[in-house]
Amino acid sequence: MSIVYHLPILITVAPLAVAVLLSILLNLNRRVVYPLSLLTMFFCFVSAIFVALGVLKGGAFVYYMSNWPPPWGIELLIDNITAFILLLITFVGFFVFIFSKPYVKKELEKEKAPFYYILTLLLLGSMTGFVISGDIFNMFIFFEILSLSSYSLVAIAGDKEALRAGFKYLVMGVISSLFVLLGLGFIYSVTGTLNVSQIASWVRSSSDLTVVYTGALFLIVAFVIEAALFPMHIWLPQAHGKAPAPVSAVLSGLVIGVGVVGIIKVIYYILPIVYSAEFIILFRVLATIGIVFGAIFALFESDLKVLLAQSSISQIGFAAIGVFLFSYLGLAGSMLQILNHALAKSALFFGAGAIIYRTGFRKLDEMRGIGKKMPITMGFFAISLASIAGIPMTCGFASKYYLCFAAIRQGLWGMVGAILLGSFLSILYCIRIINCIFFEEPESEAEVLEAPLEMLIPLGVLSLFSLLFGLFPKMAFVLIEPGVKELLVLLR
Amino acid sequence: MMITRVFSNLIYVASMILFLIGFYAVALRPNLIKKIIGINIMETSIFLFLIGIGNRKGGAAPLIVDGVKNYVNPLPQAVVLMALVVGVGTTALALILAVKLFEREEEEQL
Repeated sequence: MSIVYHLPILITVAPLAVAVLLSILLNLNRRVVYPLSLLTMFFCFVSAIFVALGVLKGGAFVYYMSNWPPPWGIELLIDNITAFILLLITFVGFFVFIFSKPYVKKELEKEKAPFYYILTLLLLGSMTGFVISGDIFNMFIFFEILSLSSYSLVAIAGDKEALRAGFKYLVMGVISSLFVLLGLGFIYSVTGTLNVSQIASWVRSSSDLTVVYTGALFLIVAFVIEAALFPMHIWLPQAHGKAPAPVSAVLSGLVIGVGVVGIIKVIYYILPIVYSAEFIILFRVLATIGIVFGAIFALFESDLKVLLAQSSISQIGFAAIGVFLFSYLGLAGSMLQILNHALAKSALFFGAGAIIYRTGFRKLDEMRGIGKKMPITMGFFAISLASIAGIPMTCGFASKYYLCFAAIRQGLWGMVGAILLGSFLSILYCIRIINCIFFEEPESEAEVLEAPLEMLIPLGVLSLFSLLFGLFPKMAFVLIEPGVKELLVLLR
Repeated sequence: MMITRVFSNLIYVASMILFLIGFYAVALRPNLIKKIIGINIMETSIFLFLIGIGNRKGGAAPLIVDGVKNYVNPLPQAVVLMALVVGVGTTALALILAVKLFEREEEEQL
C-alpha cells in the first residue's frame, strides 16, 4: 500500500517525538519551540486529511508496527471513525496552536511558554494515539500520557486555584486510569490477549461472559470519568474553567470527546456483546440525567469559562446518549454532536480567551455590552453559541434532531423529554450570555480593541465551520456516515 | 466452602482489600500527601492483581531454560512494569502539585 499506510503512526509519533526533541532543544534556543510545534501540527493535519481520503477510498486497514503481527506486535486500527476523529483532533489542535501564541505571551510567565507548547503537543499526540491504537494496553499508555499532560496544563498557571483544580483532576484521572488497568486485567485473565480484534472474536464465540462483563464495566466507568458524564463530572468545571483558554478549548472540545470515543471503542470494538448487558441501561439513564443537570448548573454560573465548562457536561451527555442507543440515527447524532462540540466549544473558549486577553474580564457581569466594543470577535462567538444551543441551521441542531429522532424511534420517551428539556435549557443559558454581551449597556466607556488576528482566525474558522456543517449537513455526513455504518456492522 | 474459596484466591482478596484501603485514603482523607499515598496503594493493589493473574503454581521465571516446562505468564509482568513507570510519573506530578499548593498557602498566611 501507499504512503497513506504509514501516515497514521506518523500522526501520533511526530508530536510525541518533537515534544521530546523540543524539551532538549529549548535549552539551546527558546525561539525554536513555537514554530516547530506549529509546523508539526500542520503536518499532522495534512496527514490526517490524506488518511481520511485514503480510508474513504480504500476502506479500513490495520497497521502492524515494524511488521510484527499481533499478538506479538502493536496493532493500529484505522477505519472511517478513527480517521474522522483524527481529522477533528488535528484540525482543532492546529488552530489551538495558532491561538496560543498571543495568549501565552500575555497570560503565562516567559519561562513557562515553551513547556506549555511541549505539553500541548504531548496532549494532542497522545490523543491521536489513543484513537488509533488497536490493543487495550496501548490505549492505557496513551491514556496516561494524555492525562498526565492535561493535569500539568490545567495547573500550569501556578496560582492556587489552578493548582487545586489540577490536583482534583489528577485524583479523578488516576482513579480512571487505574480502572482501565483493572478492566484490562479482567479481560486478559479470560481471553489471554490484549489485542482488540482478537478479544472481539473470542467474545463472540464464548458463552461464559461474567468476567468479561466485569472488565467491560471497569473500562466503561473509566472512560465515563474521562468523558465527564453525569455522576463523574465533578472535576470538570474547575479544571476546564481554571486552565488557560486554549487549553480549555482542547480539554473541553477534544479530550472529553475522546473519552466518548473510548466508550465507543469498548462497546463496539473490544466487546461487541456488551450492548445486550443490563448495566448499559444504567449508563443510558445517567447520560440522560447529565444532559439536564449540566444545563441547570450552567444556567446559574457567573464565571464565563466555568459556565462553558458546565455546558460541556450537558453537551457531552448528548454525545454519549447516541453511543448507548446502538442505532444508526443515534450514532450519527452522537458523531455529529462530537463534531459540533469540538468546533463550537473550542471556538467559544477561544472567544472567552480573547475577552480575557483584551480586558482580563472573567465574570459575565463584567462583560456587559462587550459585544458592542469588539463586534467581529463577539459575532463569531455568537455563531458558536447558537450552534451549542442547537438553533436551526447550525450543526448543533442537526445532532440534537437526530438524537431526538433516534430516541423516538426506540420509544424512549423519558429520554426524548430530557433531550428537549436539555436543549431548551441550553438555549436559555446561551440567550443569557448573548443578552449580557450584546444588549446590556457597558459599565465603562473604555475602548476595547478587537482580538488580534492570530486569535480572530481560529475563532472565525471554527465557528464558520460549525455554521457550514449546519447549513449543509450532507457535508458532515460525508465525514461520519461510512464510519457509523462500520460501527453498526461491528455489533453483529 | 466459602473459606476454602477465599483461601485459594487469597491474592485477589488481598488486592481487593488493598484497593479499598487506598480508595478510602483518596476519597475521605483531606490531607493531600495521604491522598497521594492512597493513590499509590491503589496502584500497588492492581499490580498485585495483574501479577496474580499471570501466576502459576510452582511456575518458574519466564526464561527459556532446558528442562523447565512450567512458566508464569510474562505478559502481565510486562504490563505491570510499564504501569509502574507511569505510576512514578503520576506520583511525581502529584507531589509537585501538593508542594506548590503548600507554598501558595504559606504565602497567603504571611
